[in-house]
Amino acid sequence: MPKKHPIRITVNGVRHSIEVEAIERLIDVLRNRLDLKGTKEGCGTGDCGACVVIVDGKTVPSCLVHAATLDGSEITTIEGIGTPDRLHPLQEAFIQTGAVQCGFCTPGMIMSAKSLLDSNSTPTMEQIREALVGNLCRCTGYGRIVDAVMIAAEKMRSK
Amino acid sequence: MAVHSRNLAQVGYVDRRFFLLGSCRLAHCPAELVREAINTLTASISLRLASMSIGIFVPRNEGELLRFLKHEGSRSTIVSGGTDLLPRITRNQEEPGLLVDISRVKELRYLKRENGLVRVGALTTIDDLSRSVLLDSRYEALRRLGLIFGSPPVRNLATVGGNISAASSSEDLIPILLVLEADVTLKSLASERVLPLMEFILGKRETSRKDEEVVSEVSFKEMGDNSWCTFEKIGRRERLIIALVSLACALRLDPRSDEIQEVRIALNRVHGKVPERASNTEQLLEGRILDAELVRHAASTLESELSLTSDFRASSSYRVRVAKSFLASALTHCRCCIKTRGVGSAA
Repeated sequence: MPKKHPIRITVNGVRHSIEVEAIERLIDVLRNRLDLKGTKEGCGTGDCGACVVIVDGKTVPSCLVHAATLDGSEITTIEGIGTPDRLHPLQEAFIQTGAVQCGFCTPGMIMSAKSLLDSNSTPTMEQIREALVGNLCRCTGYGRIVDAVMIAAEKMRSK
Repeated sequence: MAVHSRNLAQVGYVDRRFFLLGSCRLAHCPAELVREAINTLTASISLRLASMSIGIFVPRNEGELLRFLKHEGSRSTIVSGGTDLLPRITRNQEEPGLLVDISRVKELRYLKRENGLVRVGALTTIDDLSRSVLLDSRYEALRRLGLIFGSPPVRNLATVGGNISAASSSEDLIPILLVLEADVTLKSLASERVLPLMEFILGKRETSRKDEEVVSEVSFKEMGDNSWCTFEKIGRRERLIIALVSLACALRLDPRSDEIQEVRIALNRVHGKVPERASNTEQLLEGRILDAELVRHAASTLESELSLTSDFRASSSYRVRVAKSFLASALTHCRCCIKTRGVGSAA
């Protein structure tokens, strides 16, 4: 069994050819090899949502995906949706409403919210809560986070 | 009290990282130290996994997979979505020598209706299954998985084949497939066999899959008119939770006379620690007129049929009370749906 597995992935629009270890997970590749530290690891078991990224259009917990299976995949992380000069409407709204306290859950929250808004531009409060059900926040509370997604949806509609 | 990131990491509460983070905040820990603690703790899972000598094979198609299993099946562990196995590896509950990650075998990801059967490829995700336009409102139990199974990111990974192969009472799909009387197809390079799901599951985390086989498909008969299936689940919170009690019910009823023509009931636990059908309760109900009196009678039959144990999640008496209540509400709900919407609702 080969120890290294060559994969080609596109992360935030940039192509990478890397050799990954057998048990290396997507989050290990993002944080340790590509230095994309925005994605956080919380529980390591897919329960907290801190490590959520978008792979081929679907949100996944990056702690549960073997990197070796990702050859040819397109991955979007929090670093790929906006820049400090040009924030994504969701990032703007999170700042505006004070939906960020310690910030640990924020990247996963925003990726889950982005996935929702990509498929539903007019979500209800209930739909936002359902979309974020797998993202745990232990300090800010969910009220402002849900408000932020609502505001971002409005901003994105008016653009 | 001074808090040092190294101390935090040494505590070893990797799964309690949020708690630790909270402690840092209470201790007025400098932001830099908190950041360092997070990095140290995150690295600890990666390092632990890296220290395990686990190999991985990623077949690109079914042929490659079956050839590999023929030779290496006995020392391999098959993984598809990884939502069950990877947490077990991370928690040191399992250390497989060789993983076969079949998530790239696209031939095993499909959902179709064919010759009166609904055929679901083993790699179909729970998200695919719960949203499929091929399953109309009568398959309410499967559609509800889109709300009550894990979280959206988990539903995007977890697969039908993985759920049934995990063979435990926490797998929401199994009771539903039991009431749909699903069959499981097991494929190897040399042969293919089909067996009822009930026979596929031998016990907790134990199935009749042979080393050289892979679960390739789950299939069940399409529901007819005047039929409905539903699913109830309770945990310690509403979402993202293992079921304390879950119950699936499939009912076919004469909407004019309320006579039960066919009924199947399965719970996450009946006797042991895997989902099973409640056959005594089914026998009592079949052919009878579904009214309030029969529902009460069925609930007490179910109570006598269940032999549940208490554990750290819930007591047996609580589980029995909830199961009885679920049975009553599921029967009433199915009856109501059949009478108001079920007739001729086949898509």
